[in-house]
Amino acid sequence: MGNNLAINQIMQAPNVIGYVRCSEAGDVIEQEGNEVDVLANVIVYFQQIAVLIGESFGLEHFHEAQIQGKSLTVVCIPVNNEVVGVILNSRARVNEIVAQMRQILNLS
Amino acid sequence: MVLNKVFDNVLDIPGVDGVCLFGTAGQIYLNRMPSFISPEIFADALRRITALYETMDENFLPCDDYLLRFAEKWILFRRTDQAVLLVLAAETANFASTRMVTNMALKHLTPAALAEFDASAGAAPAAVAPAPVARMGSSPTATPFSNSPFQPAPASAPAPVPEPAAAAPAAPDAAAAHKPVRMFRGRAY
Repeated sequence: MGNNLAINQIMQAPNVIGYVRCSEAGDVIEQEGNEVDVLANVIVYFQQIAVLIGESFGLEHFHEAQIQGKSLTVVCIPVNNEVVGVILNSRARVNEIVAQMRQILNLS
Repeated sequence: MVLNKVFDNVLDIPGVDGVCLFGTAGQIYLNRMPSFISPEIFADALRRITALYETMDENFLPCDDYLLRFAEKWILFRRTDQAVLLVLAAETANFASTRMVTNMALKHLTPAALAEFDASAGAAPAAVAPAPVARMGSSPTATPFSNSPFQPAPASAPAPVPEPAAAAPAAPDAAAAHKPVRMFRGRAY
């Protein structure tokens, strides 16, 4: 599936307000929507720390994170050597959107 | 103590493996994590969680709740003004129920209740006292990399050994002292 198509599909999901995909090195590969500039700055670091926190508890294969703020929820999903972050507003049904994202990104 | 019962409720949720409550200055108020999680490793985790909060507060948005999903487990940590509640659970655990019960637990985390924890259980200091989990704007000079979360805790640092909740008997006999302690959901039985 083309990347643009994936972005469009994710952005069309209800209550999704931003999308960003970054490389492992922190470079922004693609982004769309609001508030994603700030997220792009921290998402790779966030993913690295999340993996380390898991390692502290003996956990492997980090596959998803949810950052829940008062007005926004961010879903962070590692895809191969990249990280995809999606910003949702407070009305979003997070689990449904995560399932939809996994389908679009061809993740099991 | 009411708070202990509240945390019992969290542990009663099927699939929940452990609960920990630690202060923003790194002190451990309550540790009911599985016994295989050693204090040294646990200190590293607390330091990394603190770094995560600090980084996200200063560079993104102040968010109190984080859910990290791994292959078979997930970790939830939720912050209040003075403490962070950490829940380790299996993938099968009901996340909505856990949120609901932890909402109740956080509601009971008043300064008075935390002081009671300090007084009765005695908060053990962490091996490497992490920087306070301050909300955005409260610590302008702190940097997320000042205490790198990528490095394990120094070997010379003393391990945080949470003190037992109940006071030890005055003169335990030798046999009792060497009796192996079996743990279930973080509690000896």
